[in-house]
Amino acid sequence: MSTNKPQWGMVIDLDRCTGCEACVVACRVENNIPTVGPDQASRGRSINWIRIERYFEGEFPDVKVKFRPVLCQHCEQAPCEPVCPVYATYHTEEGLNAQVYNRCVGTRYCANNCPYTVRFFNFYDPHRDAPLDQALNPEVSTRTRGVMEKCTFCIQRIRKGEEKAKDEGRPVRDGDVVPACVQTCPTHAMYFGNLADPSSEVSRLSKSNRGERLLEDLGTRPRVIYLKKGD
Amino acid sequence: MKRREFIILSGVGATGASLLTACGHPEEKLIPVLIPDDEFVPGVDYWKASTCRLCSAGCGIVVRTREHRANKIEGNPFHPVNRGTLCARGQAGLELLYNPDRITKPLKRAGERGEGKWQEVSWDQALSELTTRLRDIKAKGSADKVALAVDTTGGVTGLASELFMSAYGSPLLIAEDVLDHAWAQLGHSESQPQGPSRMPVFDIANCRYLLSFGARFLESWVSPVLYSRAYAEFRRATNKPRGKFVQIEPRMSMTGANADEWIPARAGSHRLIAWAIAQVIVREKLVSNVPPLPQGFPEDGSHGTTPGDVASFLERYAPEGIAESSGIEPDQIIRIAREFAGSGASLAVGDGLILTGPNKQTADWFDQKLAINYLNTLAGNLEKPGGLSFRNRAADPFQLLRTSSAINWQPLPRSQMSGPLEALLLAGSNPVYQAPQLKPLIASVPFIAACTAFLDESASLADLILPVDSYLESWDLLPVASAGDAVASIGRPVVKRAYDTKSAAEILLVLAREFGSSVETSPELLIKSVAERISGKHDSQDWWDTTLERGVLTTTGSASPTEQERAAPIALSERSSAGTSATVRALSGMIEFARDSQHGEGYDVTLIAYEPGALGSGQPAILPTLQELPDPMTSVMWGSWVEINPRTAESLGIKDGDVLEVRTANGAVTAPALIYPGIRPDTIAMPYGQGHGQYGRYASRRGVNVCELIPRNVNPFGETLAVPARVTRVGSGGQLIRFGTELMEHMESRR
Amino acid sequence: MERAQGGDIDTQLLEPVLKTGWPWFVTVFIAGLVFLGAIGAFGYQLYWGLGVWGIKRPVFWAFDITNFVFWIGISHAGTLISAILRVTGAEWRRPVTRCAEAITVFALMIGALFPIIHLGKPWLFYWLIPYPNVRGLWPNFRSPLAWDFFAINTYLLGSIIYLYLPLIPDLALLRDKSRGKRRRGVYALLSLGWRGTELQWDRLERAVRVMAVIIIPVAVSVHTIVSWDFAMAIRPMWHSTIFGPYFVAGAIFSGIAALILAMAVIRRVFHLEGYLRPVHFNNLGLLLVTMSLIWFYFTFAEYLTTWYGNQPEEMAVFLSKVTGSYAPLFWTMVAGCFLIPVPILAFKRSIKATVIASVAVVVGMYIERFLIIVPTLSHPRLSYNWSTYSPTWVEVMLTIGPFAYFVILYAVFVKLFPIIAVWEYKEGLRLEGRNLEIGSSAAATAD
Ligand SMILES: Nc1nc2c(c(=O)[nH]1)N[C@H]1C(S)=C(S)[C@@H](COP(=O)(O)OP(=O)(O)OC[C@H]3O[C@@H](n4cnc5c(=O)[nH]c(N)nc54)[C@H](O)[C@@H]3O)O[C@H]1N2
Ligand SMILES: Nc1nc2c(c(=O)[nH]1)N[C@H]1C(S)=C(S)[C@@H](COP(=O)(O)OP(=O)(O)OC[C@H]3O[C@@H](n4cnc5c(=O)[nH]c(N)nc54)[C@H](O)[C@@H]3O)O[C@H]1N2
Ligand code: SF4
Ligand code: SF4
Ligand code: SF4
Ligand code: SF4
Ligand code: SF4
Ligand SMILES: [Mo]
Repeated sequence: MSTNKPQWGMVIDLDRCTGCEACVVACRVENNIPTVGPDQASRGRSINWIRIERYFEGEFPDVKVKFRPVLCQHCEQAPCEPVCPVYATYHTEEGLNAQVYNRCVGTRYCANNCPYTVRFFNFYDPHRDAPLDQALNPEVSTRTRGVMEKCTFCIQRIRKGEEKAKDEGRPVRDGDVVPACVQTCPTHAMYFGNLADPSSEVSRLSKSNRGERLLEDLGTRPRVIYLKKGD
Repeated sequence: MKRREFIILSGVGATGASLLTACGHPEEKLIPVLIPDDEFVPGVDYWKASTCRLCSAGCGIVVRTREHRANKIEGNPFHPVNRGTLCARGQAGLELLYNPDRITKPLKRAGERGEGKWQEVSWDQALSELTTRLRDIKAKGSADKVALAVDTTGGVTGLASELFMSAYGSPLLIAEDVLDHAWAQLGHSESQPQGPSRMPVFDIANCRYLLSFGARFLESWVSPVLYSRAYAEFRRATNKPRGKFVQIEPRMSMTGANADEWIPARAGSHRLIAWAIAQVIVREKLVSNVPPLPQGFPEDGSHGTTPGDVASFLERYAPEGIAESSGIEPDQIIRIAREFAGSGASLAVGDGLILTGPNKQTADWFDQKLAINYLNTLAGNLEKPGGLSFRNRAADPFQLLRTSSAINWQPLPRSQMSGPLEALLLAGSNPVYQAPQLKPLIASVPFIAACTAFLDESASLADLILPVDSYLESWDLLPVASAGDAVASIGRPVVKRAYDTKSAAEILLVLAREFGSSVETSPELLIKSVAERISGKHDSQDWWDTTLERGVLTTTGSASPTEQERAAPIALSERSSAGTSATVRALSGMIEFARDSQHGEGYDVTLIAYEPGALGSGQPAILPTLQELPDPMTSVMWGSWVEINPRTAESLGIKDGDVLEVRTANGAVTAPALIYPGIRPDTIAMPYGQGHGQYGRYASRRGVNVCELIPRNVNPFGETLAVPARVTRVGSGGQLIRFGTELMEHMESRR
Repeated sequence: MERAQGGDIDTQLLEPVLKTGWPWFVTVFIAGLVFLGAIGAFGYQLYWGLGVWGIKRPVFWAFDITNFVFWIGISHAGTLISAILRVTGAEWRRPVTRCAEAITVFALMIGALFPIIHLGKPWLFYWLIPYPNVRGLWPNFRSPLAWDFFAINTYLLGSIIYLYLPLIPDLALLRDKSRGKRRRGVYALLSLGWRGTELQWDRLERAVRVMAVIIIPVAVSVHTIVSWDFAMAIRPMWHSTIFGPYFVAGAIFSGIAALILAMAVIRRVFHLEGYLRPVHFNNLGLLLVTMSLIWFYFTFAEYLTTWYGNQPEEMAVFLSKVTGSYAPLFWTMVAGCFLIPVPILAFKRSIKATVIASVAVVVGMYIERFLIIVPTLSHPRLSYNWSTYSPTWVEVMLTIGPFAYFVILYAVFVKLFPIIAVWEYKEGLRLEGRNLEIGSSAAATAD
């Protein structure tokens, strides 16, 4: 990588993930994700930047279930980016797939071209019954209707962590940045860190022979690495 | 370090559970109680430690506040239960604090009962009306006709309830959670001086073979976060092979979905299977030492102590003989028995009410627990790493304050309830929802007062409503489960009260004082004095502040565990003495009867109901984020459903989303069908938690209340028992709001 | 029908322009109401947000883009057909060209609206325009949507010019024949001082010929680029190299059908039986059946390769169309685009037959556009996210509205300009040896 900025990445251990969805709620509350209500939810407008995909396999009684947390994979070759006509979604030097709400005009093209279906559109202006708005995270902007949103790897936490490291005059290290989903995971199934730092936990884990990337064959080079179940 | 040098919380969470002293990061501070105005800095995050009270596990939390508003809850990294993590429900807690449907002022009924007309009154007026009423009743000599129903037996509310009731002179203390379920039961025994004071701890982290009989330890059970953490260790600790996990249950729970093997046994057959496994182990001599049977076995009264006795008792449970009633092939049981006996560190756990003290109401289930636990004895895992140990509960934090007169916590309806009550006090309890059949009975009580944050089904019948704090605004002290030297977890306000509310404990303490108790009426001071007494520190403000910063109270004041917390193992026979009486067998018989009678009565399937992780038994239904959280197994949001096996559905001509009527002896509800591959064809399942008639805008009139079908506390087993049911298709186009796609289309997924 | 000849040509061809009867007003009024309804729907959408549509995650595009592709496709009727016919010197084209060129311009005007209408923030559509702005940002030239912007605008501009050039002599004729000062003035202005001099004729013919040559690649590129909106995306059954030609063929196919329908209507309404004669329908019918075969060939190739390749993600989309929830639409499409028109046209290319075939084709091609977009979007690679889609009334209005708008535009156009190129028609007769006055003054033809 041609930059000395940290290269953020995530590792998710599917053998630890139980499907409990604590991460889903953590992300919602940290990132001011609106609740759309039953009517809109029934029309496919509910938003979860991270979701737990659950797949049933086999027939009774030999039923198996797989859970997989899916969030924006922050693809190094992100198919969502080139199609955006206004550069509202672009790649940062730290390897994040960034989303600029103010710039987005809402073509939804990016969402159509995201193989992971992790992009969410604001079909209406989000509404919060007062005083629920008191709980909004002041560090994350709320969105308006007509714009796309998705996992940011908790950019606000990344910035904080980076600033802290800078204040202390050292490079970022493990533990400086803990996204909300990673923070809450009861089984510690998720790891977050700097892939450019060979000593970081994510670097180490990403080399595991259990490692795989989702839809790897598409060449999107995701920054999220899954560790398969099993030995 | 001076205490005033704030402690910052660095990297709260997964990797960095360490606290560093402050050095230049003023924007993140972990601080004690309320910040004095002169020290408050706008724009700075203040983190405050408290305790989650959205379920009884009592995880430690830290709450991020800025400008006097709470904006995020995270796990407290110090806390022995959750070590910085939280479950889905715990993450959503702020929506309780800032819920738009909270009651903001004391209310007095203005119209007819249940009409929904209220008049705002002052606290003084409300409390004086309440005391006057109670005084009058007492003066009439009818004090024992006043019942108090609380949602929890633990914590300061539980204590305050006891104090009030004994001061007032009524034994009718009702708690919905006293029945059966393990954690509730333990809390119960905690608050009951004469109850057993030891609790089982399951070392899931270190076992290598985990055999679970329906224990949903990853989503509910005793403490979902604690046991999820243990499970992760079990799966992937360094230097340890990956454990094997077998789940036996009629309907695949989220926990079951994580198992290496899921065995869909008939509902109610867990006991048989456990004995059958034991039988195989004994007959194949897979273990060298055959321990005596639990007291009370065999049923003829002879105590089976010799291996021969054991073998002959187990004879009747041979896998071949129970195949029919359990629905499990003998081969499978034999294989599991061999694996269980041969894997070094095996552990058997059971659902809800495992291993609790002798209790007549739970006797039938107790039998099942004994069977499951006999497996642990056979495996020789008692008090071993990866096994089952009994831990002396660290002293009950409130021990010294307990009243000497025995308070009998009771389950809800019972005979007293049906007798004429003079008054019913509710504190966080919602009996009308939990047992809708009792509604007429409750509505006929002359006076009802409810300490509640929301106008729920029961509170709406009240004459007087005393609005209570959310847990983020009130004080509490909760015993900590299964961990180290931590005695209790401290709950304290993290923001100022949003409305004119009081805590339920405070109201009860004030009432107790009113009727002669001498105990402190401020929960805060009460908790502080208890804490000081436990830790032996007195008048040490620094110590108290540090304790509050950490949110955990320890016997030593330190965070490291002490060895003497571990109690000597207790023999099962000791514990079971009272339990396995004739009642046990009578009730076991009834279970069998219930099952046998299914067909006769035209009920063709077995209905089981479960508390889904997020909405549980219904209380969290008020949190919109949890309503919109896709159920992990079905991805349904905002509603109820009936899980039905694809084959059963096909034979009944039922398609996904069709409206079904489910009928049991207790009533009928209609809900959409959800084709669910992970359930026995002879069984259907429904989640609790929805179907509130009245409980704020997010919960009201959404889905159905399964308590209509399986009322709590009304059936003789007092348990979420599987019941015979009939299911009929009554139409199509039921509303199933799903986040993911329907299940059947993708049973074969490539990825 | 007898072929129109002689001196009554001017009168007959200019009559729709010069006289307006009540049916015209009724038509415009009804279409206007429908169109207003669509505008209302759009206003409603602007006010509330895109949530009033039926789109959802993951079906983020549906009728909006279907309409876009459909109308851009229809636009190929025109220019492309008339240009090809011109370039190849097909003599029978003469009464058809203007009719076709007008379709192009109007269909494009409508089609180009949809990329704006479909935005989450339609009022920011100009952010797609490349100009040095305060944000210091150019549009992303890597985005096919930016390509669309250029392609459509180029095509629209080209089509207008291409419609306009051959109009000039007729405008001059109108200037001379119409009453009313203002009207004459406007025509005078528009006819750019056409006098019919030899030089002018020479220049005009050259310009038309050049435009005809230019517009063909532009038209091909436009629909190719539209197809790339899909083909560039790595979605099952979108990411296909065949999409460019497939879309162009489909566009011409639907364009011809639309042209046939427009001609049939005009012919009836304005009593132009003498000009738009069975031979034209016969010839266009031949073209239509050819395109139908080509369309079928492409479709067959596309679906066969998908089926044979048998990749799960592709097959999910494939099966949803062929046997799944979209099958009724799919087979209607096959019927409309192939099974109905081919047998009809193979045996009979009467006006009635071609009209029936064209209706089938237009419907079929509309469905085809829908089936390209929605089934793919509703079957993302990660099957947990599969979904279905159904439109709301807003989308229905926004779909019907443009047809009304089209009728209005056409009706107005017919009121203002002769729908059959008078001079071209006469030129045709002249070339056959009949000495006729072409344009406003005596024609000085090449011979
Ligand atoms: N996240 C979360 N945690 C919670 C709670 C919550 O709601 N959510 N609630 C807390 C409370 S108060 C409690 S009491 C516990 C309860 O936690 P659990 O003990 O897990 O209780 P249940 O949800 O009743 O699940 C019991 C199991 O028994 C099965 N079952 C049902 N009927 C029968 C039967 O007749 N026979 C047999 N053999 N099995 C049967 C069910 O399928 C299920 O697998 O969880 C506590 N923890
Ligand atoms: N059929 C059947 N019934 C069951 C169960 C079952 O498995 N099957 N489970 C049973 C079990 S194990 C349990 S533990 C019980 C649980 O039963 P309860 O503890 O009664 O739970 P809920 O009815 O969900 O909630 C009670 C009330 O708490 C109030 N509340 C919410 N938040 C707060 C707060 O912050 N402070 C205060 N003071 N009040 C608040 C709400 O107004 C709500 O009405 O349900 C039991 N009911
Ligand atoms: S919180 Fe952790 S265990 Fe739970 S679903 Fe998310 S990743 Fe999986
Ligand atoms: S996962 Fe989707 S949204 Fe995220 S970078 Fe990749 S293509 Fe873009
Ligand atoms: S929706 Fe927004 S971010 Fe996505 S492509 Fe369109 S303008 Fe870009
Ligand atoms: S990294 Fe942050 S934004 Fe992304 S899913 Fe996790 S919590 Fe949400
Ligand atoms: S398990 Fe969840 S709900 Fe229960 S105390 Fe812990 S965080 Fe709160
Ligand atoms: Mo409970």
